[in-house]
Amino acid sequence: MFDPPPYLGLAAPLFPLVENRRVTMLMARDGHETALRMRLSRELGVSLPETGRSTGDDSLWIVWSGARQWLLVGNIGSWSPAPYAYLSEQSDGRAIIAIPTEKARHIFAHGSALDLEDSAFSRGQAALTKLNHFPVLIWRSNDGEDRIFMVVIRSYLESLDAWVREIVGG
Amino acid sequence: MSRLAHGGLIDRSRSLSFTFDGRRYQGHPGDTLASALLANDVRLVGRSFKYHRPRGLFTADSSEPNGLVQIGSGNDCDPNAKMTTVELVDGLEAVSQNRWPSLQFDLRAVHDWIAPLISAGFYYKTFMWPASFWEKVYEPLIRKAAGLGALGGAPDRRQYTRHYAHCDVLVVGSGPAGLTAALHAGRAGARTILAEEDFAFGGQLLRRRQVSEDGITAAWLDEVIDELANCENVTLLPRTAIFGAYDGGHFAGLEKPCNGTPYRTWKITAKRTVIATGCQERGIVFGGNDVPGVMLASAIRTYAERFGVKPGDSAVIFTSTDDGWRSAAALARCGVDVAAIVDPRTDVDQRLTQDSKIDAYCGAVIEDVRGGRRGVRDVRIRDSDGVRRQIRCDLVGVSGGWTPNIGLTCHLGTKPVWDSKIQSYVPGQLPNFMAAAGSVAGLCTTMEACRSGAETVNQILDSLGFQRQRVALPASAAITLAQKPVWRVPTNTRKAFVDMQHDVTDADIEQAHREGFRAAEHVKRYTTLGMATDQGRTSNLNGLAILADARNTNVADTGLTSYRPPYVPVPIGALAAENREAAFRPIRLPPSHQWAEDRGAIFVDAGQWKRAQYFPRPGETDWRDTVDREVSTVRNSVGFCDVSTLGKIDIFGPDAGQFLDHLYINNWQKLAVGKARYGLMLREDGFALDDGTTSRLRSDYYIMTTTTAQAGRVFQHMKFAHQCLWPDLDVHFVSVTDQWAQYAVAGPKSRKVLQKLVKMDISNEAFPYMGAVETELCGIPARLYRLSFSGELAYEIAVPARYGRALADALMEAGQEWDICPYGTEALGVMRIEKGHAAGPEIDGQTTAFDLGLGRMMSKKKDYIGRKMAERAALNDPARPTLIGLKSVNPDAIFQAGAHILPCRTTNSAEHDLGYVSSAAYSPGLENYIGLGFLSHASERVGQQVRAVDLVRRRETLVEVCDPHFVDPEGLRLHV
Repeated sequence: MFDPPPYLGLAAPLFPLVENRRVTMLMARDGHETALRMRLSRELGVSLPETGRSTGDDSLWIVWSGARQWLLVGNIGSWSPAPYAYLSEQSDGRAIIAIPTEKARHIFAHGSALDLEDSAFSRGQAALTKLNHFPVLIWRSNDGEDRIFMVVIRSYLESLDAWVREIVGG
Repeated sequence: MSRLAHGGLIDRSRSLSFTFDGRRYQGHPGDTLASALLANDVRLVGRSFKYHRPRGLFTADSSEPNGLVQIGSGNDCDPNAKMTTVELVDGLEAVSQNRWPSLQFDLRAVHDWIAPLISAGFYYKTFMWPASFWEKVYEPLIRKAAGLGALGGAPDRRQYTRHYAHCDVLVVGSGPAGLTAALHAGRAGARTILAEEDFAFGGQLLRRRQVSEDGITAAWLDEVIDELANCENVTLLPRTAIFGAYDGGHFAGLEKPCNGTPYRTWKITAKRTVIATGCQERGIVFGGNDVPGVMLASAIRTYAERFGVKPGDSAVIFTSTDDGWRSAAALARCGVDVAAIVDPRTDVDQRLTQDSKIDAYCGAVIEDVRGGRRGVRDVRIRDSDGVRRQIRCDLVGVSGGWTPNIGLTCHLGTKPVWDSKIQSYVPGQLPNFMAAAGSVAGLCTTMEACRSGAETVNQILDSLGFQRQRVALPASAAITLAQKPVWRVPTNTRKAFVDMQHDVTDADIEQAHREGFRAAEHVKRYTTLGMATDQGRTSNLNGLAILADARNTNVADTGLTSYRPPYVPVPIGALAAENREAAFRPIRLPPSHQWAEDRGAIFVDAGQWKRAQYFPRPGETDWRDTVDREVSTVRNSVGFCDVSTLGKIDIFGPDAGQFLDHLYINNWQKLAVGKARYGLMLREDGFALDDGTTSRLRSDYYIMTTTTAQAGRVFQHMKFAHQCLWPDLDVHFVSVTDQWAQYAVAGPKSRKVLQKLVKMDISNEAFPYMGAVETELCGIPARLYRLSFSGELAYEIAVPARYGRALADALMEAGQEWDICPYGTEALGVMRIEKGHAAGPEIDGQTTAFDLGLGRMMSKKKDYIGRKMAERAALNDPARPTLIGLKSVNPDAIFQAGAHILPCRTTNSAEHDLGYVSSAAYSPGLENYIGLGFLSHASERVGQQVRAVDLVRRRETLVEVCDPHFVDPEGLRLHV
């Protein structure tokens, strides 16, 4: 009876969706950040990024997402941050779009006051912002292909895709 | 033709065809509409705002007060375009404005004859009776008789766009100071943006290319522009007026269309900004100074030298500046017969007088210009001995001094300061991200402007850590800059205009003063001086000087009016950019959207969400048929509705219960795991903010639901409460609205349907009312709540959003034998009114818990946001309208939300107002129109008949006051 698509998204988005990745919000309890940092490093092999940064790679990204909050993008299995933090499932609530950085600069120039040039937004940086009134979380890949990953609230996806198409003439 | 045989920055090898008022003319690339019209001997370009006086061009730039035209036709036209800034393109259509029936013969020029009756502020004193005529008759008549251009009225289909940009150095203006600053910044490697309002870079250098009197050659200008254009870190923005300066180094600009490009709004964030906007020549107020052919001397020179156009055959230059003499000399070189120079000064620099071969009248003034719509006929001057004489001419160039273009420097509140040396205002103490360079900071020569640009930008480059680079400045000859402000020549014969665009005369300002207006801001508003689209750039200082004279003080002590964005007119479309029609705002789609669309659902906007309003079936021709059917199906069998749009917030932490206690008016810490509870939260002022259910799924984990419309507001409220009021609480929360697809399954058969899908026992005993549990549905994680908004046996089931469509299909299949149907927000609304549940129309920011009948929920054992303020006596007054039910006495008599409730047999006036209808609907089960409302002394009025008076829809309905619970008031159906 339930044979869902692998991801709830557009049939043909202009830019590819990052699919089949679990997305969870990690919220550190006050005073437990150091312990959480050590736990992450020890058990998942990644470091907790500083404000406005991301860490990790294609297998697991950790992206700063607010005060004592990070978005984990990737399979973390049954890993639990308890008692240092809480996890909230967001796999179906957020869509992630990967855009080549040059194209992202063009798109953001039409809808965001964020400066994506190298001197202002280097590899690995992350930001919470708005793109033409769409709330988004973005980060720039640490290495490999230079891309901007954009996390958008799922219900905005079609509307955002339509706007981006208008901007890039797609 | 008045085109000079050679010279100018126009491409004479190509011709462009354009029309003005339907007549075809020819121009060249590089022309403005203004220069092309002058080249075609068109002198009359517009009619004035109030008196409909014939007007010609006064300037050659964006300060133009007279040459306003409509560009284009139909709905895609641009009214009020200044022809001095319209770049000529092939096929351009321009139409004059504010005249009838034609520009040449304007019947409304009769206003000029009755001018004494319609002087400054006349509409404040006339048309006083009858009062009701003001909006219906007088104002429309005045608006029709006076004004500017008009829009087409239909939607504008043209494209507009927006662009954000960032830079180390923004340079505004491309005169000698701006170009030099940009060149230094570019060579130093700074990200640089050079914005120029004109379509050509160079500023005042553009009108000196032929004579090079300062030694700045055309070659130097071309070299600089070429280098900047090829510099990767420099962005050149021609046709872009920076129209606003905002906090933190943000600037807004408007780029005009060119060769098919759209209007573009620029939002520029600059670490530092060099304001190099130069200065503006100003006129002198004298009789007949608005006759076509009276122009600023610098404008005449620009037309001659930049555009190769001779604006007249015989000119008189009226100047109190040295630059006026140079303009006269330049005109003579271009072949214009300069009949005389009239200078009020008696101490004119001998170098100017000796070099000039033109008749000069020092110590003289022009008292009057005579002419009409065909142009200037002659001028009457009064010399130093008081002797009057007449000089025939068709062109008058005026140079009354120079005013720095300080507008942008004042947008952030910086007060300009008076510079007695140049008798004008210059920028005051600017914010640290802004610096002024060149003649905007004080009148200076071209060479001094270059040096100023270099020095200013080098200090900026030092502060930003860039290495200064050497830039060779061209050699320059010394010139004199003396000027003696002459604000006006008193006249008793003809009108002398201060603000030509708004038809404000010197007499108007004096009249305002006589009537008691002393402050510059008051005089501005009473006379409308400087309030037109040119922002008074050619008139403000003259107006202040005349006011100062009336006040018997000096200009510096008179004060200055405020400068505000926009510096140039900005089309609304350019501000909206791509955000129009479907893209007006972001749209959110719930997980079942496509599923509902496939079933022909009609959608309604709920905030940013598109929600299914109802699901019409074949044969249902009226929305009421569909909604009645959906309601009846739920009441008698089963239906389901997508409620995914409700805000959902995960709340974690050992202090989560305590945090909820602070947010809601009722108690939460003792809520058992596996249970849900209804809650109401207040704003800090004690009024209701939002309501919803919150469920405790684990000991340290709750999930809160909010209304669809208030989800963001509630989340913000929670953030504030946690970060500012109770930061010590160990609580964490995050929105999960989009994570879950959630459906309300309601009706007496809802349990049977759901039991087919879930393994857990959902009988009343095993899963009673207000139960909440994490479970599985066909192997996927799910959440099940025993909640009801309809008043029926009901559940809400949530699955991860990707399964939303599949769950809708599964529900349809499982409920097939009970004729299950999806229902939309209309049926949802009908059923909640039948049940007496408050929703958005009741919790509208103006009601309290007491008003909503929820006063008893307010805990007395704990503190919560809004408690103290909700205890205010006025908010607990029994006379305050409280929630009540209403039903029409005649079952078929409609009444709607918004109607006022009044007693029977009273007049429809505010003193009898008892309350209002907040929600209303037709109840198919009760076969009656019913509603909810707020009524004063509500409980005492149950059973009484009152009137629902709808003044907007002109409807009055007799209704009976009743209990708001129309269906199952005991709540038995919820517990079966």
